[in-house]
Amino acid sequence: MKVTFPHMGTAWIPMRAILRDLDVEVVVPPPTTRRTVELGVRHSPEFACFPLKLNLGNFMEAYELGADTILMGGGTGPCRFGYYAQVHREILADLGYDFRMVVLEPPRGHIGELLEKLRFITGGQPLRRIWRALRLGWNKFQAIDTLEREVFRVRAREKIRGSASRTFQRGLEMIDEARNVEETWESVEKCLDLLARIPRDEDVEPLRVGVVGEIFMITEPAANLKVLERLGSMGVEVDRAVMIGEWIRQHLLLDALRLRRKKDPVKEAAKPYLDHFVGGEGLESIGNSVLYARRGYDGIVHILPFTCMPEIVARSLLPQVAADHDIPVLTLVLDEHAGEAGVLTRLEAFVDLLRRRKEQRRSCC
Amino acid sequence: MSGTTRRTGVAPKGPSIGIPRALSFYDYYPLYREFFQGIGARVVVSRPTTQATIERGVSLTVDDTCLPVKVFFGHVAELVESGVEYLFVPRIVSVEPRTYICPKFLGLPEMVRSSGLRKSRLLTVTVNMNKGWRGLWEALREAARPWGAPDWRVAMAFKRALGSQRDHRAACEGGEWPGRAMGCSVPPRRETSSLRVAVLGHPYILYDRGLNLGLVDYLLQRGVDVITPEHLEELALEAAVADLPKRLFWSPAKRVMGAFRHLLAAGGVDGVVHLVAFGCGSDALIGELVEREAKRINRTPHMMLTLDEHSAQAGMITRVEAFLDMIERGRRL
Repeated sequence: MKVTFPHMGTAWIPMRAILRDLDVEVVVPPPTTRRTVELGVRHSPEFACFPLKLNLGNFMEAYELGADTILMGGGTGPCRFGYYAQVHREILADLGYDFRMVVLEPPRGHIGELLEKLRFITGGQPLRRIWRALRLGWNKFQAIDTLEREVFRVRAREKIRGSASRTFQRGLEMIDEARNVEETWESVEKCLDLLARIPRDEDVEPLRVGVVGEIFMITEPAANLKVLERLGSMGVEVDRAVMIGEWIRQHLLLDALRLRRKKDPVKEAAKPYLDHFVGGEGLESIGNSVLYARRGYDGIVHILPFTCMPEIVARSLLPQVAADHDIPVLTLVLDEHAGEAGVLTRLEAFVDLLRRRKEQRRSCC
Repeated sequence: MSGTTRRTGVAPKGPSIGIPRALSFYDYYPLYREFFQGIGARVVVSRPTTQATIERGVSLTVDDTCLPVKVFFGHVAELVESGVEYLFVPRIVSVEPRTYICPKFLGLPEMVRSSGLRKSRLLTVTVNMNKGWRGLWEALREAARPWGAPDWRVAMAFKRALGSQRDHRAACEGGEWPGRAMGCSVPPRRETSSLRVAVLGHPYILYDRGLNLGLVDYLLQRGVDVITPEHLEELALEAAVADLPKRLFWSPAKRVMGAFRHLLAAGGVDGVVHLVAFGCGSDALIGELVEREAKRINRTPHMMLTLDEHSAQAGMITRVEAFLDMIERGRRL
C-alpha cells in the first residue's frame, strides 16, 4: 500500500511524518505546478471549486509515482469539500486509475471511527504507536505555525528581499527531517535564530494586512499565486486568519474533547454582520475581518475560489464591514484562469492605496 | 398577482407581508400563504420574474452569486419598493435531519440586510428542522409575533398551513403540475408528442418561467410528458439515493439525484434534461455525478443546460429542440 494525500501548503510535512512513523509507505504528490492544474482542470466539473481540481491533479501525479491509496478528508456540509472525495472517486474510476480511497470523516461525537480508519491504513498498528505518530504530526504542525508567523514578521522588514523565505525553506526541510518531537523543536529554535540574524530595517513600520478567506486558498501558495509572500516582499506584514496547526487545535482536538469555548471571539465579532454559520470559513472570514480592523490593521485581503458557496456569502457582507470599520478590503476570486501579472498589479495598487492612507492619517493627526 | 384572493376566515387587517417569488417560495408557498393569512396578515407576493427582475437582482448582488439568488434580490427590491411593511426572508438551515439547503440560504437574511434595501422591515426567522417539525413551528411562531395573534390562532394557522402544504405535495405526486400552486400554470399544448422527458432541477428553476427562459413551457407546449422531482414520492427519492457511498448533505441536490436514479431505474423515460443555474455549487458536483452515471450505466440521452443572466431564449430553445429531435431519431432507428 502506497498512500498519498492532496497538497495544502506545508501540510505534507506533518502528514508524511505521521504516516512514516507508522511505517506506511508514503507518496507525497509532486509540488503543485501548471501541469497539476491542467490535469485537474481537464477532468473536473467546470464549475467545481478550485481546490477540488488541484486535489485531483495531485492524485493523478501521485498515481504516476506509484500511489495506490488516497487519504482524504471528508465533511458534513454544507461546504462542498465534504463531497470532494465522492466526486474524485468517480472521476478517477472513469479514467481507469486504480485507487483505493480512505476518507476521514469528522467524528460524530466519538473518535473511534477515525482511529479505526487509521488502523486500517497502518495495517492494524497498536493504538500506542498511532498515538505517538499523531503526537509527532501535531508537533510538526505547531512547529511550522510558529516558524511561519515569525517569517511573516521578518519578511516585511528584511533588507535583502527573499532572505526570510530562503530561511523558511531551510527550516521546513529541517522540520521534515526531524524524527521526533525533540528534534522538531530543536530545528525550530535553530531556524528562529537564523531568522533573528537576518538584517532588517527596524525603523520602518510596515503596513499590516490580514488575509482571510477559504482555508485552502489562503494556505496553498500554488492556488493563491503566492499572495502572502508577495505582500511580504512589498514590505507588508501579513497575518493569515487560519493557521493549520491552530485550526487543528480548534476543530479537531478541542471539538473532539468538547473543550471549545462557548463564546468564540470570532463568532462574536461576526455577529452584527452574520449571525449563523454558513459552512466552510464564511463566518470566520467576516469575524476575523472585524477583529483585524479592531486591532488596527491597515487592510484586508479576502481570497476565495471561484463559485465558493460560503465565501460568496462572506463576500456579499464584507463591504458593510469595510464601511463600518473604515478598512479597505481587496477581494481576490481565483481559479485556473487567474494570471500572475493581474494579481500582482492588483496587490500593488492595493498596497499603494494602504500606504497613502497611512501617510495621510499621519500627516493630518 | 397577489395571494390575498382566498378567504381564510380571518380578515386581513394587520401589517402586510411581502413574500419574494423566488427560492423557497417554489417549495413552500402553500404553507407560507396559509400561515400568514391565518394570522391575519395581508400577503403580498412579488410579480413573476421578468428580465427586469433579473437585471435588478444582478445590480444588487456580487457577480459570482448564483442566478437564483440574484433573481431573489430582484423580487426583494420589487416588494420593498412597493412598500410592504414586512419582508419575509427566512433562514432555512435544514428541512430534514443532518442535511442543509445550501450556504447561501444560510446567509440570505444578512445578504438582504447588507444590500441597502431598508424601507421594509426584515422578518427573519431561522428554520431548522434538523430535529423535526418542531423547528418549523418555533420559527413560524416567532414570525407571527408582529401580528399579535393569540397563540391558539397561530397554532390553528400552523396546522392549516401544514395541511395546505401536504395537499400540495399530494396533488403533485398525483400528477398535477407542481408550479400550479405557485401561480405558474401549464401552458396550452400546441403539438402532441409521445416523448416522456425527465426535467431535473431545483423547484425555483423549474417553475419560474422567467428564470428558466420558458424552457419547461416549451417542452409542455410540444406535448412532451414532463416529469419533475416534485412528481415523485418522497420515499422513492430517498430510496434511490440510499446506496450512494456517502449521503448527500444538501436536500435539493439529494432530490435531483434521487429523481434521476429513481427514474432511470424505473425506466420509461426517453431523455433527461438537467437545468442548472450558473454559480450553483451543489449542482456543479451533482451534475457531474449524474452525467457520469448516465453515461456509465444507462444509454438514456442526457443534457445539462446552464442558465445565467446572459442566456437568451432562442439559443436555449434550439438546444432543447435538437435534443428532442435526437431522441426521436434514436427511437425510429
